[in-house]
Amino acid sequence: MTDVAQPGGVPLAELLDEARRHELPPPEVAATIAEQCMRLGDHAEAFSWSVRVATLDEDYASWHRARRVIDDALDAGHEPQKRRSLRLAVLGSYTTSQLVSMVELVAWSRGIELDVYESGFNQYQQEILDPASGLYEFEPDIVLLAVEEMAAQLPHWSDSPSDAVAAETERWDSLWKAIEGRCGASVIQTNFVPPVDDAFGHIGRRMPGSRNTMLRELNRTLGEAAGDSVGIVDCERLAAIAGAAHWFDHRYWFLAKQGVSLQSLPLLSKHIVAVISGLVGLARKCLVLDLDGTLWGGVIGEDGIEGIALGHGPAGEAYLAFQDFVLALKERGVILAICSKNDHDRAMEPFEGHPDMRLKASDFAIIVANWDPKPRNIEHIAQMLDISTDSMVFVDDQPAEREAIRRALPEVDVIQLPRDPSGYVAALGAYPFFEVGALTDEDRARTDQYRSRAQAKEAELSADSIEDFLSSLSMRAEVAPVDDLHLARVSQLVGKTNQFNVTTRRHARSAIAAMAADPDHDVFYLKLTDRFTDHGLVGVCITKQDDPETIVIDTLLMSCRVISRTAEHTIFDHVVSLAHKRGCRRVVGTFIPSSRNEIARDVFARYGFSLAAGRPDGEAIWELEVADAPNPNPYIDIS
Amino acid sequence: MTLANRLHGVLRQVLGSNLEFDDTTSASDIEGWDSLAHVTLMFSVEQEFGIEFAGEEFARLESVGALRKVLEEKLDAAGG
Repeated sequence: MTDVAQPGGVPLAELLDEARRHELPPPEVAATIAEQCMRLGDHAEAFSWSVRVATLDEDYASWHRARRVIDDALDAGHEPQKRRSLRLAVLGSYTTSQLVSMVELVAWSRGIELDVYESGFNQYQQEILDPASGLYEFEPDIVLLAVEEMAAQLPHWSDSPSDAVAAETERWDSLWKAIEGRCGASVIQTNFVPPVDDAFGHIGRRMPGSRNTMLRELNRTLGEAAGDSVGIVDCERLAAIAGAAHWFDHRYWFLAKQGVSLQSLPLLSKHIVAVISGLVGLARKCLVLDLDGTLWGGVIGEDGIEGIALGHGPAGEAYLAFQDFVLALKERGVILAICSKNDHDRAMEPFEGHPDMRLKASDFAIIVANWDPKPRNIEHIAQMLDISTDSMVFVDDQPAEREAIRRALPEVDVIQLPRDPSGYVAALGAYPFFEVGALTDEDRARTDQYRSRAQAKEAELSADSIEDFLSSLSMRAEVAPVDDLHLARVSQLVGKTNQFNVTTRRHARSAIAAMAADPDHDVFYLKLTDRFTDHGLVGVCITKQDDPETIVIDTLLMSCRVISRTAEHTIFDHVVSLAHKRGCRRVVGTFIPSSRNEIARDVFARYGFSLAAGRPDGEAIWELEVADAPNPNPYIDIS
Repeated sequence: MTLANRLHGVLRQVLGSNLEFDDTTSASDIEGWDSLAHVTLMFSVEQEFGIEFAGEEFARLESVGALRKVLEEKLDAAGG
């Protein structure tokens, strides 16, 4: 029995509706759903919504609630799927309970079950040095040293700063070696965040003996000492992300020895789990990128090489900066791949001829540009590179493509790009799970190896059904005769659409207006929305009644951005209904090949037209008996 | 929703969804309301109501009534 009348108890259906209104739900909504599922006794759903919270915005209160539900679900006997179980010992110089519970939450969201041992408050040194301590009895796989800056034994001021820093580096290094020597566990340490309140102020940076300057130097020397064996979680950077003033809250330190503010714990935990994942070989290997709207602005197939935004202007510079960041990821060993809805030759044009492209075709292990559904292409890429899809990360500016991957391949990490390309670097930069245990020269040359592998391998595309995806989009179309309000957009599309355009007839605006007024002609448009995006006016069709029995399609075109959404089916449905109204029994369509409309070639055949004259590979006349028309499009509702 | 109801909602989120609270409930009455939970509770109340407790208030807000009273004062002072 659920007690929805209880204060704060919103019915589950309402919560799910609220969650569906967002591409990614707010964390508090997901946490509430998890709680309600738990109350309803659905432990599996409760668990899955809880771990989902750790993939959403970093809100400690929600994450804490999700963490409670996980405990409850496990207590109730739920057995989640997991990729790995690890024994983690956490040795803290501060109260680590909240940190541990967040780390466990993130670990579950990565399929890792942690068995955790926590040392007493500020007992890390004793635990490490005493061979009979609980630490060694626990036999950890990984030891996390969670320490805040007060644990660094450095004075406010030192007359011999290099000695002081060397001695402190040596102290930590010998603690690491003691752990490795006694139990063989891998060690991870969080480094030090120089406090924002610096008595030495700016002059401190000119004085190597001031404490904050020594702390910075200590972070550097610790990194050097860590080498390939010890994992470092760079809290100095994390504090910069969170805002150093928010990283530490004095009130919580005095009250409860919280060395990191509660609001920063989700961020820290995510990065700790990323470093753990790297150490145990669960790093993500491959970054799959879209092209149009992701690596450059605009659509190469429509705008051409001169028309895309890249290199100049605010948007062009933003895309360039993003390419630069992607290139840096490649240099640290991330394999790059492309998955784009495009004609392959057109997709390659910027790589071959755009002077501002920072990424070269040779930077990618594989480039897949076709019109197949992206989930199928991602599986194809995985096959060709011989990696598993759970080591892949997908980046696309289109929410619907992201949703398609989330549904079909939930094991792929999907990065949500903001609308504005100036935010792309931050969105990708915030993603932590490329972290690896160590980086060799060989790792950094990885893309080249994988490219040869892909070239050597032929693989069949695996079949995949997209019906569920299409249904999930909740698409709605408005189909209506063109009016003054829409004439400009309609004639713009008639003038510039190259790819999905069966006749490529460039009627002038005045000619379109004349046809719209002519009783024998119908000029109508299609507007499309889905649950993520209002695509606007994206389809145009012009028909003419040629004789009492026949309607002829003069023009049928669609903007590239809605290709593969079945909108053409809806346009044909409307043509069929016009035929009914006019008492015609036949619809005739023409396909006139151009250098760019290959994708529209089979549109008549797919709806059920049969070839009446011409060749399937050249200019062709297609006919449909109205009585033989298929059922109306099941995926797009008409509004 | 009244302030008390909102506060009880936060208490339930942090301490347990089946619990009932009134002004007389204090930390010693609730098994899970230990010093660790108290820290998370203070944080969650601050977030929910957009206020900040003074450090010295933390320790003495270990009953629902005291918490509600200080909350009311702070929200009044903020003109809310």
